[in-house]
Amino acid sequence: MSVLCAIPLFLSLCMSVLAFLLKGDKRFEKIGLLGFAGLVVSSGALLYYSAMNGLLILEIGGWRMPYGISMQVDVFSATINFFISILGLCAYMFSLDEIKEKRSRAGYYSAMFTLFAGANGVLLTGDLFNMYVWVEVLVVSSFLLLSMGQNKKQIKGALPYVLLNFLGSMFILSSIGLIYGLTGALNFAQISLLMDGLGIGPSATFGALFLAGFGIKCAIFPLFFWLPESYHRPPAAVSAFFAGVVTKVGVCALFKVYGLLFYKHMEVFQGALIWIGVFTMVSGVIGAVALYDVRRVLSYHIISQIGYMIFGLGLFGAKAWAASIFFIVHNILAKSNLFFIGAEMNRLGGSYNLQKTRGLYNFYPLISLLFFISAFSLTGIPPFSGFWGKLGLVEAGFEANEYLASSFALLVGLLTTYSMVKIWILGFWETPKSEKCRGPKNKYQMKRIVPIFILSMLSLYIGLWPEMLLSLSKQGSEQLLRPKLYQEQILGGVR
Amino acid sequence: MMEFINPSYLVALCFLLGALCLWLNKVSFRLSGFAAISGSFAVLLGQFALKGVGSLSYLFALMCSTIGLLVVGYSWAYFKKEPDRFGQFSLFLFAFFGSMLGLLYSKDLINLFIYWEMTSLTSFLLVGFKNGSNKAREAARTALIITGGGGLCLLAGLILLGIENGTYEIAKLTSGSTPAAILVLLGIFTKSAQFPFHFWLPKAMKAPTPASAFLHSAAMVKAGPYLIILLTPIFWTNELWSIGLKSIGLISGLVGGYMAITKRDLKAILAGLTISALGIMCVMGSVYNHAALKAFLVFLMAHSLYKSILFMGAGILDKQFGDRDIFRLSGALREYKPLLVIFVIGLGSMIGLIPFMGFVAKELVLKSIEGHWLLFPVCLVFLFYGVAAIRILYPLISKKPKKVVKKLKFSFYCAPIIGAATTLIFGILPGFLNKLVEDSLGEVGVAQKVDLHLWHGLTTAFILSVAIILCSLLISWFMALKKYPEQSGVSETLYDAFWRNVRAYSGKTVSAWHRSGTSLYLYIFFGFALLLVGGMFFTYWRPVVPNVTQAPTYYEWSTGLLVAGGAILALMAKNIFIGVVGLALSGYGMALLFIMFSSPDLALTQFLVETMTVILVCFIFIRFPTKVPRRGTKRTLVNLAVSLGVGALSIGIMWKVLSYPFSSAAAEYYLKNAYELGHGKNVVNVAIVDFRSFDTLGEAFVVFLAGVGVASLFRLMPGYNKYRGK
Amino acid sequence: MGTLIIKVASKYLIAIILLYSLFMFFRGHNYPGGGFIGGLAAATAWSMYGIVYKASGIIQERLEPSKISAFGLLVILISGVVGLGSHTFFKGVWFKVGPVKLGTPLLFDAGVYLVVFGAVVNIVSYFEESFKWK
Repeated sequence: MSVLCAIPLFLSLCMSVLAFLLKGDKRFEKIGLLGFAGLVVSSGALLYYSAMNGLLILEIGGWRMPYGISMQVDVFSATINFFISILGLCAYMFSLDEIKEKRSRAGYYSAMFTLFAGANGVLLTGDLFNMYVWVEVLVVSSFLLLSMGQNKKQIKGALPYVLLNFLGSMFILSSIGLIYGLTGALNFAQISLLMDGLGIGPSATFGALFLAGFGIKCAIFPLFFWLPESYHRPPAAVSAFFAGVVTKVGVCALFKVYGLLFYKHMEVFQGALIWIGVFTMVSGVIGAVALYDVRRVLSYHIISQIGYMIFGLGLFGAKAWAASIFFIVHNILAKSNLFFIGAEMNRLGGSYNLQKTRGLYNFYPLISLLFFISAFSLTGIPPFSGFWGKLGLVEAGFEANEYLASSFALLVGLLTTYSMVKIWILGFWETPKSEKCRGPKNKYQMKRIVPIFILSMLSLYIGLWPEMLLSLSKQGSEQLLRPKLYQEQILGGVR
Repeated sequence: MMEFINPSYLVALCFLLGALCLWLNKVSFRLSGFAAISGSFAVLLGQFALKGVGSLSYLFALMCSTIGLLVVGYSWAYFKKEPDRFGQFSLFLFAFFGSMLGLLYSKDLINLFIYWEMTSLTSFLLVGFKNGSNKAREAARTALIITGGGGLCLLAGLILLGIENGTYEIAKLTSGSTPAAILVLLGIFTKSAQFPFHFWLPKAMKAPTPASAFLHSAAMVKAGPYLIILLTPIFWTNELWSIGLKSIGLISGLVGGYMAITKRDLKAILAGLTISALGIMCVMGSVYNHAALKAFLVFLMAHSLYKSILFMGAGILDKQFGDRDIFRLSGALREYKPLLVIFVIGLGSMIGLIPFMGFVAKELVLKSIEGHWLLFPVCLVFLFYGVAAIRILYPLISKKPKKVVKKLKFSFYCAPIIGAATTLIFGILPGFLNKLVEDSLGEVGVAQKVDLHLWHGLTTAFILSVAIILCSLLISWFMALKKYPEQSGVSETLYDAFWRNVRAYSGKTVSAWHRSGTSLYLYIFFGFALLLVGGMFFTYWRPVVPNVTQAPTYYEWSTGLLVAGGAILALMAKNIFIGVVGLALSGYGMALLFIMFSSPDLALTQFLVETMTVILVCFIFIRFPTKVPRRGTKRTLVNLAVSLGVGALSIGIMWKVLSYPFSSAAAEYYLKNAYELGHGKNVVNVAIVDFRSFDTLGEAFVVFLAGVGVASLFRLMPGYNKYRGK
Repeated sequence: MGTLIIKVASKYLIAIILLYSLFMFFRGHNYPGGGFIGGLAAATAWSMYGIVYKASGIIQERLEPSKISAFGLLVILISGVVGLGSHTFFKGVWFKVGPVKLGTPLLFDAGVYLVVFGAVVNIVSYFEESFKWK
């Protein structure tokens, strides 16, 4: 049963190779769809079993821990992985309609599968260096997707992304090397055990190094500037997949690393993390309020939402982390969906610019409804999914006496509402100006609407009936915050 | 005694009804109207089954549902001219209805908050219903932002309450601190349009009138008072709570009244009167005694009834004459007798004439504050009411009507007539409401018998009422019919200015961010990393100089110098290819160092990779001009500082790590098992392909993807398609 | 003048380097060497061929290095499932052929060889070819 740990990863790698060998071939479409469906099913099964057993461990190559590499699937990682696989399926479906042959022949679908594989690897691995390897896979796949089929201007926008990400990877690799030099171990559980005895210095330094390195990937303040330059340029399926995967995996890696390795001296980081989170929230929402291009507004929202997750990370308690986990999942669903809807707004309304595309509400009620659900989910208005995460974070914030920071969290929520209402009013309610939306001439495309529908319905579901996800989040956060148990389970030889 | 059903069924029923009407409307307008009316009747009946849930909720919900039923019927008639929009309207209206009921029946604070926000959201959709009009959209946005902002304060306050009391269950709350009180009050004031958050209500009059008749008279604006009376048992000891309610309530009462006597739009006048009435309710609700709270509840119910029928009347006038300006509607009521009755009863109830329910309410209000300093301002507010009533009524009945219009259909005035009749009945026989009010008051802790009458005798309150009415008649002679210019109040101007500045400021910030080059981002990153990592390192770990046990041999340090020299050459070269030579020197020097430290595999790999790198770098640099551009001195110095900083930090951390004894357990394991289990003598290779094959798998994919990536980038070059002929 | 020297010399150099790459690959498990090194060396040889003889187009069309790279990945993945019987991926499965021990790590290494070879040749040939696209 523990073999299941590696199945999503292995499957996605095989699909990637297959996609490359069959690139440009129409027959691959169905195979790819089956592939992603298989990923969803196996990730779901993985989630189920890890929730049942607490922790699933697989030793790759049969080499005993802690000298071999192992995959360690806890509830937190399995939950995020499952929702990323659903997102992948939706992004794939959307790509089938959106991506033209030029990109497909350049290896687009191959890169999609490896992007998923990289995310999966980062989340489910139990070895620190292995995590770095999958981070690299993630980063290179994202470069590929970002630069494929673009024009000169768009590639210019990708340059800061490439540079800063490489620097971040460099920092991460250096810190991994140094941790190995210090402890002689690369297995999470063993490093965790050894770090306990080493005092505050190592935890503080390496925690800071990881924050700097992964911080670039999650786009925290003040390292987020690459995101608005690059996320709005590629096709929507790519942006949506990025929004749901790349930055979130960075955040998840931080959770894992802080929860398992540096937890003992967390108080050193708490203040910094909380306020970095607040600054990130505010920076993101400033951009969202000011701009009128839908994709750029959404890119800035990503930054703002990351701020909330870092805020939750900094609060460092079971409740705060459970709320953050819920928040991450809700974001994966709602945020990415908004990118898809933005693409539909462009197709049906004629432009991404809100000052040009208007009046979609009267002609396209379905997309308006789906936008309404996702947009107000993001703002955190009940009964939608964003509320539960925010509630948990503010509660935890108040309990930790961080009143000022929590108030900022609420204020940013209001500004997020303001910017979402701006999109709603301009894009949907206003009287149509462009010829394109004077009449219901454009029909819905199945391949585009089905993913949007799936994500909206899931988002609505976890908003109205949050119990299941809340309990998974709670289980996940409790697991992350009991590294002693983790160490025992893994090094004690439990399979 | 009926078993009570779960209130959430009722909420769900409302939502389903909305969806049903939307669907049926595509088939037939009449059918969906029938469904709507019978559905809301069912909801009203459903209230009777829910009596056991809580008396206070029951009172509010019953009032809400009754008016809801009337409004649904009214809205069906209202939409007869544009039947295809009725379905959507019913959806939103029922969604609102359901949210409101959910709010009233919530047993815990978070549940209440969820429905509170849902009412804001659904009212947003209702206010902006005529989405073609810019004013309607702006009004909807203003309403949502203000009530949403207040909602966030409310959330903070409710969370504080929950933390203080250890639970969110309303029945178990015992105390409330001042911060919580302030935050909850902010939430209430925004929702109930109290000063200084009152200006969204007149703007929201852009909503279709049925929506206004429901939301802005009986439902949404009553959420605030509901919360006041619900939380009074825990907050009544709090000074700030009662001061806040009294002061803001009075100010709003006066501001609303002033608004009512200066506006021209009929609905705006009614909005002003609503603000004012809510202000009175706030004042009443701040006093925790039986008389005041009894007055509070009765006044609330009377207000809902008369305000909703007045709104409905205004809507009828709007539809029939196409105008809402009282000066242009001269004599309109003369044409339609039923409408006249509606307005007379509604306005009469408002100013507290016998025998309407408003009179009962007003008497109770005046009686409860007898001898209190509040009496004077409250009377002033009631004075405004009188003047406003004349302002509305007089033009509408004075002159002959200008236009000749169609007959008024029964279905249109059916609902308000029923409402008017109810006002009359509850005025004459208010005793019907005794049990209802008594139970509700008992629930909030002021248990006493309630006995409502129309006539209490020639009390001080009665004399005062008559005096107020006479004074208002007198003042109206001078002031009621004055025309004032349209202008926004102070709050609105501040609000608009605030958002303008927010937009401007964010716009400037964002363009500043976009204009910055990549080099600035790099500086920021390195600066941040140096600060964070350096700070942590120097504070918590202290750098240390390692003790050198062995001096490096001459070939070791000279190779080291070669590596460093190559790097410096690469930086300082004026010709780009000399720079490449420097890079190569550095790389090959590293490979030599690997050999010296007995890592042949590493050295081999380094040699080969360096060769490849040089070839590729040359390929790239051939396309650049050979002369390396010079940077300014300032820039160079900054770069130098950053690089030295990063270098120093790396060295520092590395030395510190080296000062710890190296744990070689992993190395021993690999050395021991490489041949036995891995069947290979080269430990490095066995590690790569066997022990840690998983890493190599990932890296192989990275290499593969790099190749694909380069290929895809080359495909974008302009010459590619021509050359490849594809 | 210079190109004539390198053209003649490269014929021999390429052959030697290719043999060397195979040698490095096979001895990797017991002595310094291995798939990565072998692949890079072979790629060097082919890159030399492509640059000296301006044969990048032919390399792209006939050799299809990207497909080789993908095939190498396939080989790696296959080597991972061979040992699936022991409920884990990448389990080493060995058997003896005469005095020589063969096993899945060798297959894995071969895959690495192909991946590195394919990717690097791909990159270099595109670079070289791009000069013709003016």
